[in-house]
Amino acid sequence: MVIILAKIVVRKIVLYGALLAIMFFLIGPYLWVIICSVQKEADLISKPPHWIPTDPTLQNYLLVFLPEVGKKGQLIVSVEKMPRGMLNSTVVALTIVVLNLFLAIPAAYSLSRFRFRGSRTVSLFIIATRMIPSVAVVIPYFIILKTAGLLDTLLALILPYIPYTLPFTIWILHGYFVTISPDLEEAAMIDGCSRLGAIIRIMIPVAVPGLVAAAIYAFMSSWNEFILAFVLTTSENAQTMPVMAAMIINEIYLPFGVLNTAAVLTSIPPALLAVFLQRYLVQGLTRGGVKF
Amino acid sequence: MFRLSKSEKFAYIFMLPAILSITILSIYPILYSFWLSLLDYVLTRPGPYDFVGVKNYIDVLGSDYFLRSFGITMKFTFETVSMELLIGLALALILNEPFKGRGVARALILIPWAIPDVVAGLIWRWIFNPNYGVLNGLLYQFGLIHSYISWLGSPSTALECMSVALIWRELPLAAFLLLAGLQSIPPEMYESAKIDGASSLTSFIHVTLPWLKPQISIVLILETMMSIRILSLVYVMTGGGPAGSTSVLAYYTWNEAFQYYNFGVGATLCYIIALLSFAFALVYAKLLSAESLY
Repeated sequence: MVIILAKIVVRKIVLYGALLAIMFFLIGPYLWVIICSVQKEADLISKPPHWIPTDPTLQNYLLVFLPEVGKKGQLIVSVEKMPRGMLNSTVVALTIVVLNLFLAIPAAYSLSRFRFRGSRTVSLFIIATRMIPSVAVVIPYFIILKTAGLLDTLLALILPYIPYTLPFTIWILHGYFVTISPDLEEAAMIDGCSRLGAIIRIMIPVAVPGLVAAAIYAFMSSWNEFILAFVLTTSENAQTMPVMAAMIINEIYLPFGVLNTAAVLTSIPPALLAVFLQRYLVQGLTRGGVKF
Repeated sequence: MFRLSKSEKFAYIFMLPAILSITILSIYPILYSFWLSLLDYVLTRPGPYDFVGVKNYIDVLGSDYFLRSFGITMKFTFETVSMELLIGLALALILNEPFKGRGVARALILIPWAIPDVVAGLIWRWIFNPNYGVLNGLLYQFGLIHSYISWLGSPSTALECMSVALIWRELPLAAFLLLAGLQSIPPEMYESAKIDGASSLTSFIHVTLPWLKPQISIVLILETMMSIRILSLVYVMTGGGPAGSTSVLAYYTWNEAFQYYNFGVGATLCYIIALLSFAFALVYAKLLSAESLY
């Protein structure tokens, strides 16, 4: 009895110990950046580090959003463009979400409900396009968009982000649709509903969690994308937050507080989505096992 | 001519917008990129550009730069993927146990994977900062080092620092994919193993691991592709340095294409990277004999 009890206790200790260590590794760095973003510059360059902000400040955030108030004689050009960067990122990401749903819902529906000639080929095609690295399309996109005079516009980002996100949203939705029984739609169709009507009125309301997962995925992928955005945009006309955040390291007299603030602002929308809609996202990523 | 049934017609019409947009926006650039890789295309020179056939491929594969960055990429890929799989499996096993605060833990753990890789690079660049970095501060306070170390500034540590940053970012995905596999194991399988007198270690080896094969191969394939293509982290954390010690394949490609504007060689390297990741995917699929990879 004692041995069994001891075993359970040891097991618990090992379990919690390992959990704490991994949690510290995964959460600590992000927490640290948030803390640093509200610290005074003098506290950031102290040795050893100033662990707990005794004197928090919103100065760095003021620099970004109210440069006239926040700036005290210093000029940080790259940071003042950031509100525009957030707008660009938001517009691109939301457009991609809408386009994804419009294109992916019918495609995923077809793949999950019909066995048609070539359906196997179509799924393979979609899987294969998922594997294309964005670094492989950035050169042709640069040439094509330059020729079309579209470089440094939001459209220059929206166009390549469609194939960048679409294969995976189709996969997420397909994984969700196959778990929904077709009986409901068929019953509606017997009652005189058209197939399209049945999809809109029956299927879509049931599939909301899957749609949420697909939408979050599309939003995150396009918000986070860096390589294409870095090459295809050159000014605040179309630069997204990751591009601005990456370019900040070229600023020579950049305060560390501002660097951390830029990191927080660039990551806060996807981080919040991940924390609050985690259930949908994980379900979408793993649903339907690993088979298409 | 075959006749289409009504539902087939419907299916084709429904598929069409997605297939068309993927083809135009993705397949066309890929083919165009292949054509570029056969040209002596240097943007800073006026066209038309000469067709040189496979010369770019021969030049690239025979160059010392390529061999060096290939070696760095392979080392980086091995380090990151193996750690992601091992720690990811440990984390998945922990998250599969009931404990207080599991929901909160699961939600918070996803953050590193959800944020932009550029930000992951900035975060770790700040942590590894030679003068004010928190890693130096911690190690110094605990008396483990006597003077601050320039982690990203020395060729012997820079690549490992990048590995840590990528492992940090990819661990949540690996863990959640493996966790989904763990949750699908029917409890009866463990019970029958227990009846046969199996210890928890043997049931882990004979029940859990074989069951997880599909998830393990997915993690291996996804994470290998991620590591082989790593670029944003390199750009933000080290810029390929110091002394070229973190100049991985994708960074070499980047340099050729957007520093020297040699689009022909850049496109060639892109194809080599893509073929390399496909080759890995095939090898994993063979080794783990997963019946059907999605």
